[in-house]
Amino acid sequence: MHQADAKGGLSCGKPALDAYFTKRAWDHHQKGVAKVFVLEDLAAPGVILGSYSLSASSWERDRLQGPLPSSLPTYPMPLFSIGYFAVTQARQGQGLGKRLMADALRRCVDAAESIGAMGVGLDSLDENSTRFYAQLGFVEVPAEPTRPADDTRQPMFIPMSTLLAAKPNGAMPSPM
Amino acid sequence: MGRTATAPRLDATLTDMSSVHRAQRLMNTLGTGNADLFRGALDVLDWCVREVQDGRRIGSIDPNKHVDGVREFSSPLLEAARHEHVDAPNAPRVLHGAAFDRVMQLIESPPEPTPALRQLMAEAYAR
Repeated sequence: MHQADAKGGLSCGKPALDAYFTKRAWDHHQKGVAKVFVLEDLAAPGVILGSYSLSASSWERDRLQGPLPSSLPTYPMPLFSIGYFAVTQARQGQGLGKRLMADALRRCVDAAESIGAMGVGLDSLDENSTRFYAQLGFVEVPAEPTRPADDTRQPMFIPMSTLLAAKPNGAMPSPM
Repeated sequence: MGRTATAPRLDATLTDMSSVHRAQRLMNTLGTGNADLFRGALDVLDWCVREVQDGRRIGSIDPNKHVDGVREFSSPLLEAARHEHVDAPNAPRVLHGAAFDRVMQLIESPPEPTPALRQLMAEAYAR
């Protein structure tokens, strides 16, 4: 991502994603909170067709719910987190989401050669997105029962082992 | 003419009687004035916000009941701080028991890649 990308904006139809791209994506990208990748329209340089963020994160079990079963790890589980996945509204349904996701998952698989991560997590924002992610093997994780009513995000997860098994035979990691 | 340094001053006005009564009750209970009450409230809120931004939750524990006696505290201000935190793309997440168990189950018994995933990865590495 470049600073100018944010100025051009992105209009995917979900205000939270559009606002993130315009207001915070460059800041996060620059500071290393996340790396933000964009898909640029080759026919119209400077026009952003889609975007996503990638970061290292962790999930852990809520300890307020009682002691952990001894079979579960007591440490946070490292994973890669895909966030703010968006395709501009005018170009939705043309396979751009698949191109973005292919890029994101390849980066995750390649990075897992060097950085510990047990899987990839994301939040789906609507049913169409959930179907798209589920088709690729992301599994719905039960959402927090006490979350606010307006929080409709659906956490989804895919194990790194599943991604590694999907990697074509003999494929080499991307050059770093 | 010499200059006199003055401390920055912060004034606040409570306009609803409920808050005024609560503040008066707290001042009576604690034997403090406005300024000390404000400092104390600031200490607590400052700590709570930093804890929430660190991915933690605020609660009180009944020492005789341990985890079963936890009462969680929430307020609009803390929720706003929490949202700012959880909306960060790298925010660590605390999953409730069933959710975390499901994730661990997937890690221990990873599903086979779907045909769509195999195709996607083939395209990803073909580029």
